[in-house]
Amino acid sequence: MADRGWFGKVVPGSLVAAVAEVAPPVPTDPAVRRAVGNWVAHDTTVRRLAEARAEPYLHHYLVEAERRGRAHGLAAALVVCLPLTVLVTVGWILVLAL
Amino acid sequence: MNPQDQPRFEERVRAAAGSELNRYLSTVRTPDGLRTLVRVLVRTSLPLSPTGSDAVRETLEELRRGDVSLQLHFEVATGLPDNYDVRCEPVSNLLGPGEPPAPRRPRPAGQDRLLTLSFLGLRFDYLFPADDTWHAVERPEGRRGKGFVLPQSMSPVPAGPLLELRLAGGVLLARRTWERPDLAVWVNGVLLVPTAPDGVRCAAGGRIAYHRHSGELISELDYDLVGWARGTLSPPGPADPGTGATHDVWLTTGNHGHVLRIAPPSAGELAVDRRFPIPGATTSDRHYLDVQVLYTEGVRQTPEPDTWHVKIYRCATPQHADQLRRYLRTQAALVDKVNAAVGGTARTPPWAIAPISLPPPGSGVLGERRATEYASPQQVSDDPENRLSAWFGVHDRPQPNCFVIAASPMLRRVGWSESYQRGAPGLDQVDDLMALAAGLDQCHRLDIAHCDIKPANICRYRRADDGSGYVLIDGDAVSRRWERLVDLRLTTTYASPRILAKWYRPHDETTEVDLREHDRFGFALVVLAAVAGQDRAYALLTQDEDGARPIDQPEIVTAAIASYWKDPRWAPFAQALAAPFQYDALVGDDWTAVGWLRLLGSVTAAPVDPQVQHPVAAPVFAGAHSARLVALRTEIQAAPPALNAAVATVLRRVATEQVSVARAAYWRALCWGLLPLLAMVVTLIGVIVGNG
Repeated sequence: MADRGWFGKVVPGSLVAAVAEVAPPVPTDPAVRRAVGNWVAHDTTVRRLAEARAEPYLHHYLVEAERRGRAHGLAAALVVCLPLTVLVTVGWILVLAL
Repeated sequence: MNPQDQPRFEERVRAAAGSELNRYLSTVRTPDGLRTLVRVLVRTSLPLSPTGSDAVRETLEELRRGDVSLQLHFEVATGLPDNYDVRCEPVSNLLGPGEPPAPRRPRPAGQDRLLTLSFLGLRFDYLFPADDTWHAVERPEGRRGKGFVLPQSMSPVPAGPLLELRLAGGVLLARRTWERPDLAVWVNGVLLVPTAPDGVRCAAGGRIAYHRHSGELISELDYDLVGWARGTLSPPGPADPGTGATHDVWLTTGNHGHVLRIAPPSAGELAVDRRFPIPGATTSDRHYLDVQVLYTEGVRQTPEPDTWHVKIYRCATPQHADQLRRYLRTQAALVDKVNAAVGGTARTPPWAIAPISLPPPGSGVLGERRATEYASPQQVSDDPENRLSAWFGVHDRPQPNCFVIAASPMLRRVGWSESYQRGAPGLDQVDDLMALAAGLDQCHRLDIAHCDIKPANICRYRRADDGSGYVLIDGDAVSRRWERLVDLRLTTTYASPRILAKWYRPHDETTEVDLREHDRFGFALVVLAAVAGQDRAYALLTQDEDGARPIDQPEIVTAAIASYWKDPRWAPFAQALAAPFQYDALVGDDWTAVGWLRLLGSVTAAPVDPQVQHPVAAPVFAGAHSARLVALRTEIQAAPPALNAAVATVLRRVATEQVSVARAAYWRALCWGLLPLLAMVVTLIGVIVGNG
């Protein structure tokens, strides 16, 4: 992953670039490539035969994108919410003390 | 009996019936002036199909002598030794004088005409017999038409026999039929009505217009009726290349014109005869355009000169040359349509069939004038026409405007691999052949057939981006989908079993055959040569002494292909590869070359996966995002991607889907992170309110 600094890992706008890094490439294995092409065929038999290989391949990249999104979300929560939570907690203690 | 064995069984019965009748007739002698009546009893353990019984009937009709009449009976019986039995019995050998043959209807005197129907640059010529009968003009839909039949692909022309034409005493008459009364037909501005059965008189050329009754124009056809002069070609002589001077013509492809410098043929080469059929109003009413062809090469004078394959046709008369030029131009337009379906143009690949370019008549005027030894320079000079006459070996017939030149880009022939070079199937070929398959399917959708698909007619083209692909050459063999065998120029070695059987048997010359099966068979052979090795394909095509080929027997083909690759993982692939060579596998509308190649690609995708061996029962992958994938697939299928763009389209759509998946995960994670903050804020508010 290219280093975009902590800010790039937090703002939602940087998510698209992060996901683009895990976009599915054209499969180098010709068998997988054919399966991906046949996966959208109208012929039922051809399509069903392709599912066994194409769907796990494509699904893997969706899972990878989800992982990136989750990591970004948690980073944002950590960077934005943690200081606020600390501030609120301190305020809460101060209110009790006063 | 296995249903798949039925055709072979019927073929055995047919052969036995023929042999038995021959044997019987050799023992029978009919007195002069009398006829012999023979009863032929064909008994089988299973009823014959209509096709099978027709084949028996045709064979017996072909074999019987003129003094013999036949009574043919079919019976189903049990306990027959070979499941069939044929007997010939005399009924009576003294019937009286034979009936005279039925008199043929005298044909009215008159000259046949050539009817040309033009539509958007496509021209179709028909021989219009002067037989004083009505002939329909129709575009059939889903069936074979009668009369002057337009291709089904000309969809703007309303389907059905809406109009009939008749040539009476040299006068053209037109009348409206009762078909589709919701449409109006106009000829040269005159509305035709079905209540006038004698029709209206029309000019020899003009326009046929189809309108809705609301007045809206649907489409227009131009027609032209000209006299048809028969002509006979003198035999060609050995080619005389003269001084080796080239014949230069102006060749335009796309919007670019360049000089094509045509080299003379080799000295002594003889032109070969070719015959082009001219459709008539009926299948029996057919005439031909007899021409001679010389093959040579030309160099196009572009900044980077390229070589072209050139065919020079010599016709009997200028009218024939015009007719041939129109025929080839229509073929070229249809080839362009096929190529457009795979993304090619007249100038740039990808192509399915090598495009044909026709220099316009009169474009060959660039040759230098030079005296010849046959006449004084003032009378005859070595102008281009004379040079072409010399190339055909007919110096003494320098008739102008009798030559037609067709040029195609020179393409590199494919050197198919031998089997020893392939340890496993050449799967890389399957993808490369996909554009060719799409082109073939498009051909058949346009109601045309290539007719000469074989491994030797496949070449490779090269694109500007260094990509390459396969292309069919010999595009001038392209003919209508339904054609009579006698009109075809097919290579019997690569003919499908059904076509070959009809070809070798004395056939009814008026019966037309569907050539899609022939094309598909040739394509399946090409794929076999490509993935298994050309030696294996040729071995299956080798004829024995009786003319039989291994490829005609499905069991042998299946076993042979299964033996090519010992690894059991290739068994499903071998089975799919042998599928087109089974009985009747290539007949009908359901089989497509693209579908078959996709199937081949699929079974190679996961040869060891047990799910692949039971494709129908294969479960859909059940992951967290499987619903998204299914929706995505449905969306892509609703707008099918272009050829060879399926993979890129799928990957692009998955990438888009990834963003939405990631965004959802992002906000979900952020919400979970906000929860402690929210809890603290609520507590703080509670404390403040409590203290207050």
